[in-house]
Amino acid sequence: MTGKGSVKLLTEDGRRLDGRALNEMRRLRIEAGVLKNADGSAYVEWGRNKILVAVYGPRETHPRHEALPDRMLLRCRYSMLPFSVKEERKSPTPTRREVEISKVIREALEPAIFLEDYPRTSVDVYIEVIEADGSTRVASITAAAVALADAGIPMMDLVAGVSIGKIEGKLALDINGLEDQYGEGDMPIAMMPRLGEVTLLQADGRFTREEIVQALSMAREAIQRIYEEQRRALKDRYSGVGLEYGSAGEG
Amino acid sequence: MAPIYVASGQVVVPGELVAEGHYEVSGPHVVVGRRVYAKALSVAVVEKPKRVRLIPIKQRYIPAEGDLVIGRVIEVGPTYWLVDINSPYTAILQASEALPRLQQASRDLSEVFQVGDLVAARVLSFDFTHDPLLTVRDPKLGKVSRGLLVEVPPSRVSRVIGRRGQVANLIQEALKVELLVGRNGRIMVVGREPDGEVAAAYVIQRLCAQPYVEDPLEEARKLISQAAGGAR
Repeated sequence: MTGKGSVKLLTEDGRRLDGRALNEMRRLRIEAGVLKNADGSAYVEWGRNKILVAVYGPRETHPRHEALPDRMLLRCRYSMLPFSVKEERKSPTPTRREVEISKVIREALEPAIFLEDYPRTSVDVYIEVIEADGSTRVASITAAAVALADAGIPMMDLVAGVSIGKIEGKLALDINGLEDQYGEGDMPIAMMPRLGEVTLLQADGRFTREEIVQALSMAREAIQRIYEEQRRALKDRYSGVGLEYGSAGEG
Repeated sequence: MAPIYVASGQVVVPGELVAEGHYEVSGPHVVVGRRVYAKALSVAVVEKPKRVRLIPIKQRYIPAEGDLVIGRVIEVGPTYWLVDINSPYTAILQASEALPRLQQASRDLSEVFQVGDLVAARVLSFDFTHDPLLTVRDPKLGKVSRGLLVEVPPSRVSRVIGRRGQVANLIQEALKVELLVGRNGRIMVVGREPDGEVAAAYVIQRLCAQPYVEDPLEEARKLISQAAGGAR
């Protein structure tokens, strides 16, 4: 039988099935500016998640009637590749779930962007999940924020996210696919790390008031570390190219 | 002493604290109280102890009144041309800004500028609520039919011009070319001989390859001697 609670997700010594402690994050690596044809891009490997984000814009809005007179239009498309999941091949048509995730990602990113800087234009964010292993929406938000910054979009802060799960009655940081499937709850949280403001908070499963407070503080702490990785990715991409140029005698 | 948190050549990410206190900051930034934050991915340059410039690494061209731009005609309308100016906003060149009054009604506009033509124009007006309007009413403006088109990031165009046009003048004199520098990141190089054009294009492209160059004039001098050496 499969279903919630039917799989043991914690070992005797309190470790998770992949060997992590409850408050331990999976390995995270972000790379900025990986695509030449997009205005901005980012690639994230987060545990077994592999996600590629491309940003186009600000550019003229098409179709034109969708343009907003006073601000920029932000459009997001989250999509999972057919081979991104372990089970049977995923159909490439957007599912209800993908449409919803696209919407919540857009709403999580919007507060960070100075939309009013470029009225009537649009910015498109294309998120391709190459391989999925739980918490892809927060990984997508984390990568999309880097790609937006890489595109030169004016922002007041980056946005980073992490999800808190509940397995065998205990809160666990950054849950993977298995823990999402068999755990008792999942709470994706995204914040603007420097401002400390929450831009995404969803939850399924049951959480007590105390658990929500604890989950938020776990997320807040993890998001600061994710933010450092985002900054590192952006700085590494463009650092060191500014000053030494011209010293090599190529020509 | 109010603190400053960046050094020259440092990359800043959106939302990063740049300085606190009375600083003169140019480039994309936001001021909250006494704090100055970067607004877009930029390279910081501390120009004077109290002056910081943020050079955006990537930025689309936003038209401004009076800018010289080089556009490409993308549509010929009954009384206007639509011109791509390498910006999120498509520009409009009205027949009244290109033709004498008597010809405006009678002439087929595609005889003047065709789709695909390069046009040097000046921005007449732009205010975000309407598309930018262009004019070619100036002897130097109009269709560009000769030369080499060089595209550079719009935020780096100013270094090709240089202080009081010094860099542009240097390139023009040393390589015997004419430069038409569009603020939208498009630069036309027109030379008396093709060699000069290629050399000038190389110099401009290399000059604009990096987000920040400390002394554009010196850099241009170096690149010109490199280009001249390679040509021989």
